[in-house]
Amino acid sequence: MQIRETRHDTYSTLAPVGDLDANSSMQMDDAIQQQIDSETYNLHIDCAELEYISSAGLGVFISFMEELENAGGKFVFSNMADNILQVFKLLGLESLVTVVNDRAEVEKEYLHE
Amino acid sequence: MARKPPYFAHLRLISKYSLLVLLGISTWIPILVINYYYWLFKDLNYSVVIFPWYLSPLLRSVYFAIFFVGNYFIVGQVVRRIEKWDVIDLLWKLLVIGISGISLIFLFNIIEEYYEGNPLHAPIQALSASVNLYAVLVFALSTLFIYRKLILYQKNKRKVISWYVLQAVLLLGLARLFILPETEMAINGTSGNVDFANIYISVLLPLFFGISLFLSANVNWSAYLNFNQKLKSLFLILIIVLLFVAFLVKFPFDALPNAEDIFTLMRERYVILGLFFLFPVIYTLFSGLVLIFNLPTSSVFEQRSSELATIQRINQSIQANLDSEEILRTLLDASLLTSNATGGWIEVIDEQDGGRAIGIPYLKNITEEEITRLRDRDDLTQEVIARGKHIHIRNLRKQKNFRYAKTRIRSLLALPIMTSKKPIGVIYLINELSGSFEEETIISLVSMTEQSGISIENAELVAQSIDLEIYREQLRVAKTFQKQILPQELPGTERIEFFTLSQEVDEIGGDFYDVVLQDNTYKIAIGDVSGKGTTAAFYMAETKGIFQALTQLDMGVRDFVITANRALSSCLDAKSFMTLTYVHVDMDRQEIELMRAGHCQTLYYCNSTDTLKVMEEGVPGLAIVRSNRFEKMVGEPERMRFSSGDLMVLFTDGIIEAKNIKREEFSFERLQEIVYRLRKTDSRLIAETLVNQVKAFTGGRIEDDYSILVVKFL
Repeated sequence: MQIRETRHDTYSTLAPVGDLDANSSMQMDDAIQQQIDSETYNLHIDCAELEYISSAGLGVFISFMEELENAGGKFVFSNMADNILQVFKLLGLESLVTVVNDRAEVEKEYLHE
Repeated sequence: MARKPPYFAHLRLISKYSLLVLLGISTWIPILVINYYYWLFKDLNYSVVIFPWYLSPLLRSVYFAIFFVGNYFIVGQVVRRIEKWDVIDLLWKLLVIGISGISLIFLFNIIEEYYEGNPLHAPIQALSASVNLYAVLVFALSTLFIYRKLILYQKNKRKVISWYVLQAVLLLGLARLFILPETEMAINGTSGNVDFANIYISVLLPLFFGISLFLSANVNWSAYLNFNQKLKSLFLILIIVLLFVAFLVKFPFDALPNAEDIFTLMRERYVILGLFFLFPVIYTLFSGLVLIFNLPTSSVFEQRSSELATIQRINQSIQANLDSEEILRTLLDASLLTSNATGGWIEVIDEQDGGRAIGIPYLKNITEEEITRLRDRDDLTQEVIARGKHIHIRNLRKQKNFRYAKTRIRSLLALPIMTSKKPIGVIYLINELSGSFEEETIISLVSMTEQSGISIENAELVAQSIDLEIYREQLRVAKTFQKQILPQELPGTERIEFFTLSQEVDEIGGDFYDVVLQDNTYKIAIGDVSGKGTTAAFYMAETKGIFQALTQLDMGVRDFVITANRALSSCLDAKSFMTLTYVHVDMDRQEIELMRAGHCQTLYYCNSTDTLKVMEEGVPGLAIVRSNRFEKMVGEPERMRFSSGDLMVLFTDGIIEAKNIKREEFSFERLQEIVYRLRKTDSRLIAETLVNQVKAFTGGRIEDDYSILVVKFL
């Protein structure tokens, strides 16, 4: 897996490419931790090229959820494929994080802050 | 019970040799008869011996040929069967044969003299001469073959070929026997001055002499003898030389009567003598000389070879050892033994902080204060490790850093002990005399230290693989243990039927299910701990404990989920969570209560309406929301009445997320179709068909953990 990182004014985008599973979850963990270390708490996860996410991959996001919220930021997930959205829904994550359709909505989300 | 000695084996061995000996003696009988006629006529002062027809000149030559060649092979065979290769032992055997032979000859000489003038004198003389000939032959042949064994020690092609040539010349020489006096005279007569015997002597003898000389240069066996053995061999060889002299003096020319009067052919003697004794005599003399010249140097060789043996023994003990400390201790002892160091020590490098330790076992004839005094002057350990090569100081007084050091040490040798990855330490060897470490000693010390490094590395690898094996064993135990966590038999009755199927891909998995009957209510749980492998498996075991504890309390479905979330939140790490579907089946009220916490949907078949219902209302998975917020998110469980013929299918994501080669998921829709098709059958058939269908879909195997729990209401 590969993660493309882009910094914007009010948030950063992390775009995982490929499968986010037990093996690659550490990589995502490091990427998020780096953002938090540089005091970026608004994290946009662009799922356009994410093909699969395992429970270990989800665990990474879950583990940072509270920390981001306490620091006044949040995760926004966009461009989710159906199967990934399905996993989010099943797990009840949909109600805990923000899931939007595309980049425009992401901007709106963070502008809203 | 005593073992019976193998008599028959002995008998066989004796018969083998006695057969050979008998054969040899039988070739000797005709010689005895020939000699009898010879001596008979000589006693009667006849100038011509008249032999019977069976002793015609040709036949006589044949008898002699058989006698020589036959015994040649017989003695060759017997000597070849000596398995023990020991110079002293071989020379002793030769000595015994020679002394026995000479004794026999002298004994018969005495008997012969005693019978002088007696009518029996002729047969006794014949017997004496024949025995004499036989004794000489056996001794000469024994010498030949025993020396062959010595020469061909560490044989090479050149030696073997020379040996064959020697053998061929010897047999050619014996062919001389077939040149009858009549023939010789005929040849001489017709062509004038062709002297056949002369050709023989002038061609064969020099050739024979040359090869004997060449073969005699092969005395390398003498190098492997120690001083005592050399002395013994020399002594034996001297006696053998004396035996040769005795045999030569007693050589029975009379017993070789081919010509009517062999004394007319004096030179014939030298041919026969040469053939018999030339090579053994030359080789004996050579060996004797080599031994004499080697005597003074043998102590040096001995010392060197004993050193080598010590080093080899030490190397073996170092290699066989699996304890690093033991290896270092052996290394120090061995190094002191190999070199002429008066003391030494080993500095072991601590991997963690780079510090050094000189334990008691690594110190010999030196105190820690002395070592510290030296180290204050110059830290050799660091230098040796950095260079990865030994440092040799021939004289500390002439070395800048140590010139003024207060120490008795004059020469010092420091060698690094390394594995392929890291330094282990440095071994120091010291002596109060300057320049006391020879270059050769240093080379063997270097090889020994290198060997120790390798052995220590091997020992560490073995220890690691043992650890790994222990870990694997623990995993096996864990797997067995986990199997016991999942219920083996589910508590069905005539009103309800359960059937489960599950698989763990890794040694141990994270799927969990359980069914407990309490107050006529079945409490069913199915779940999946996030992640895989050992962590997931241990969390799963913890979940089992929580589930067991909570079911004991009279708790509703909602309270159960909230309490379980609280319990798991406190025990799972931040990245782990658990999905769970929890169900109460109240048999009295015929009612189901179900709550899905992040887990896969539950499929319900309602018999009365013949429809499938997906129970998907739910709350987030457990340990995802770890605050009190969770409680607010949890609503009421989904409730419904059940009736006979209804089905409930619970499963984990391994089933619906199984992928085929095109990375398509098996999907919940396919599962629904199959369940609907089999709605009228039993729980077992439904579960098994589902698994088989998933396997058919993925093309063989399911790569994830999975569990299926089918409940049928009867």
